[in-house]
Amino acid sequence: MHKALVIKELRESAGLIAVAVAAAAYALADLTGVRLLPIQNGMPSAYPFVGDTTLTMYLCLLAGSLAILLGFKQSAWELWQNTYLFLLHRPASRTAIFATKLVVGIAVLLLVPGALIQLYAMWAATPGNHATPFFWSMTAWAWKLWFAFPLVYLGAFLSGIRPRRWFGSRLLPLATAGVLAAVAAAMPWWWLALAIVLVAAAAYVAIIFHTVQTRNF
Amino acid sequence: MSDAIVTDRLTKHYHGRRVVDSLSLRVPAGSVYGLLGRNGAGKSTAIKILMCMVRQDSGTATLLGEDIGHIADDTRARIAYLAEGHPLYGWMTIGQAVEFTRAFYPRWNDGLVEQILDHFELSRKQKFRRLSRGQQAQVSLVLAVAPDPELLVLDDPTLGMDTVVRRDFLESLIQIIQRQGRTILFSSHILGDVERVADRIGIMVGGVLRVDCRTETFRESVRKIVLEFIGTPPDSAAVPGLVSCRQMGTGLELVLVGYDDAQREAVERLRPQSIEVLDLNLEDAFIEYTRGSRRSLPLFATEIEDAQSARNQGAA
Repeated sequence: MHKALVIKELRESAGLIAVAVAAAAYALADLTGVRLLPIQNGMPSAYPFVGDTTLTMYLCLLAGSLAILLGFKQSAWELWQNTYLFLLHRPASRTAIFATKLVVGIAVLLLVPGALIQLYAMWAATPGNHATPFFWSMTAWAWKLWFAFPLVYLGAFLSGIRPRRWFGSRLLPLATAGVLAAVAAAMPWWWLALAIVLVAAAAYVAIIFHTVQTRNF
Repeated sequence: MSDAIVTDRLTKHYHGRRVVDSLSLRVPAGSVYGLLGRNGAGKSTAIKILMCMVRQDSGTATLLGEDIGHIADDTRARIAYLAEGHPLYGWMTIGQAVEFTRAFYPRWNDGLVEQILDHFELSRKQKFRRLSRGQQAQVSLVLAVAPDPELLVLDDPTLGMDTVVRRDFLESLIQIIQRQGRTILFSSHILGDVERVADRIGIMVGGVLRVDCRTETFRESVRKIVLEFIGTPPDSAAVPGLVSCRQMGTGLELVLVGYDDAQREAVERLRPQSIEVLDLNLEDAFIEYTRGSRRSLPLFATEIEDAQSARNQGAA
């Protein structure tokens, strides 16, 4: 049952995942100086992971967009298509069904931008690729930023599943998650960032499970 | 015989409007129950409450003996639900839909799946979104019956189908049902469908279950009385069991539930020049019954085998 649900979630979001992988590949090429398109200058980052605004921009664009789109796709799309009436009648608990959705969503969200950071770090760690020193500890801020995006995903998921009449109040969970993710990413102490993300994520997951148990489909 | 579905005063409000009003219903195991009503009568909401897709504001319900709020997965596996519009994943092929659904059930009749797909001339490679409405209904039916359910709940399964496809679908449905002796609850607003399949009917009007009896009982109980007068017809409100009253010049058309001696006397007290009693077919009976004033409709709330009982409920 779980395998069928995982396959279904992956197939359903395959288009979105493919676009995200292509975007990550483009970002990696741009960061490492591989010229894929004429608009790229073909120059790698001079100081990888040190004040790397290009990586920050790519991470925010890629992980942020993926988190929002995937969150809404997995929650509101089924609502709009009415397919919850089919899915939720299967002999499986709603908690199991939605937990599978969340696990798949978060896994995709961590894997695609995570692969970008990891491959970029491996390129930066390879001697001869750039003229500056590199330590793996220099990647810590990027991983901290990466770790905050599942909160945005959970905010988007909750916004998609939570019944509200007004557009503004519907998006409130997403806006709140965005602020919390930004605060966590900006924290100078990793343990505090970790605590903010974990506590907020636990709260979001609890609200999502409560919502799916109580709302009308 | 035990009851497969029991509801007790189920009530649901949407935006302050009562869409299901104190629904008390019993569907005996092994029976085919047609839930009728015009659009917006509350049929789909009632079915969604039974399937736990919508939470009731008050009241209780049990399916196969279990409270709907706490149905175990094993019991849910014995209940099939075809939602209105046959929602399924458009990107899936029929084969993928079969494999996906099969993963949830301990019992799955592969032979039956093949047999029904073959009967409907459906290929496993066809994508669900490219199928016609009738074919989508057929796929939904395949997925519903493959786990060999004891109870099937179908919400307007023939909605949007043309006459030929609808008839073919219903005939297949009858074959599948009769083979296993399952309990079926299905909603529809097409009387022909119900007449062909159901042995009991319930009619919802404005969220209230106004009729709950055998199909023939309802058909035989609703009568049209055509009265002719010299001059303006009198007020007919005093006739017991009155569903509707329409003035046509010097004539008066009354639709009554039952037509016994007491009603005959009440009609005669209006002093008509002539009285003509017309039997109605199920469709006419349904139309006349459901277009009457909602609050004053006589009830068929229990098994009514005699018109007197029906009339008494109507007076209540």
